[in-house]
Amino acid sequence: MFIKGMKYEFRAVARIVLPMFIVFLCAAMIMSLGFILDGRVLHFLESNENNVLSALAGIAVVIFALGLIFLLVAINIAVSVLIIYRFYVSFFTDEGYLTFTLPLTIDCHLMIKIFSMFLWSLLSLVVTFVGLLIILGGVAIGYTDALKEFWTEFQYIFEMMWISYKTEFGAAPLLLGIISLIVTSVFQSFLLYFSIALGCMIFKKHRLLGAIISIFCVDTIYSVFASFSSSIVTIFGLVSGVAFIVASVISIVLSVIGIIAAYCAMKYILERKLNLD
Amino acid sequence: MSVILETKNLTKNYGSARGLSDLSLTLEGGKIIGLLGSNGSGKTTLIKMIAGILQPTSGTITVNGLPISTETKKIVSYLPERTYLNSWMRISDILDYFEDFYADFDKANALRMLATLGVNETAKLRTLSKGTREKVQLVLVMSRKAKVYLLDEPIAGVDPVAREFILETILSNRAPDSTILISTHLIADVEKVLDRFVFIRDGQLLMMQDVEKVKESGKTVDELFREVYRCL
Repeated sequence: MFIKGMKYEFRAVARIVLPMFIVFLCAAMIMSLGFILDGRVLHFLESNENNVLSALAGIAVVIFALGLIFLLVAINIAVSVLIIYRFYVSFFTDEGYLTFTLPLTIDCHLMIKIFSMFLWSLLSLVVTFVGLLIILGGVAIGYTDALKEFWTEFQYIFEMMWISYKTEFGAAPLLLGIISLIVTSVFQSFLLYFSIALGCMIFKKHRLLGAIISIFCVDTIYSVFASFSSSIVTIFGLVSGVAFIVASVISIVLSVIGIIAAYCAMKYILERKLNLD
Repeated sequence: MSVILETKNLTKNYGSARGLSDLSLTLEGGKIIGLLGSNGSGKTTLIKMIAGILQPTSGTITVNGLPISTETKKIVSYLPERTYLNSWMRISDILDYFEDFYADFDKANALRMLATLGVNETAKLRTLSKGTREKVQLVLVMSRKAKVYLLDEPIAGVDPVAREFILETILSNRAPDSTILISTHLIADVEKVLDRFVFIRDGQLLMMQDVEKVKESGKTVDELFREVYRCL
């Protein structure tokens, strides 16, 4: 049943997201081509000391780069919004009449939504990565010299970062930091779903509005708590590697507890408080 | 016949308003039962609770001896008073959807009924008229070989010809020995197909009787309904 549920959930999201991915990859190719042409023109103009035209070509580079950032942000926001919207629509609108009369357990419904979110987030990351590679390819061909300089700079920055993280504990703080980041992100996603369920439970007549208000409120509470704890982590992290490791472990444990609590709360709401009017 | 549906002291509150009030009801299997009452009497509330999309404030419901759960959803086929299907889906997708999730779904029968309706299975739901969408939904619900069919206002807001089609579809496609609970306030139109009826008002049971007995007294269910409701 889970696989069947995933199949239809995947389709429901794919019909909107896949065309977006295709558009993004096409745009990345066009952008890559633009970088190749622009780089070559810029190189030619600079070698001929044509300042006005080389400035214009430079502006074009900035526009391309801004376009790239806009596209990246837009596609990731769109995917996130759509996944969240699917959760709302299939559980709390007329579609819920079908969803909750299917012979599936609440756990199965929730798992379908959670796995769908992970799957699409992962796909979104992969597509973003592929898009960036395409664009980077264009940059590499168009601005060979500039890229070499950038790569040298990047290596230097990375080495500096590595040195600052590499303590007597080796790569452990960095590794724990990454795990903490992943677990916290998962917790935030669960919190988002929980906020929607909570808002829809409280505001029965205006579920969408209720969901939005609830997301805002829960997010504010979480942000205050997260800023407070991250300040502590930062302070201790700067002081010693041990403190950073301890803080990361605490963050992971708290996030895992948060994930379990959010899941149980969602399950309770959908099982005991579901009232589709 | 054994008991297929039972409610005990079922109450549903909507804030300070009461949807159902201490309703205790026992329905035997294999019959077509009319859940009759005026608007706001609690018909839809009761049906939604049996379907599992509304939670009771207090009291219990059992279907085939089981509390509302995944097991009861396997044997209950529910037609809500609104369209719950994804409008972007094709009819063929929806048929596959039902076939995937409901073990008792008879796809061949659904295709046959859709062909009678003249609905192309490659058509997207949003391209169909509201009336046709409702009929498609009815076809899907009645193509399940369920033990219980919950039909919430299946003939409300449709023309007399469509009403005939709907009632005919219900009668000719129900699984043998299944129970059909039809909620409606259009009593005159459905009483000819009913075996039994339940009158509810303000969320309370007023009367439950066999249609045959009413006929024996020389009345119609519609007349009795008017009589009973006028007295209150």
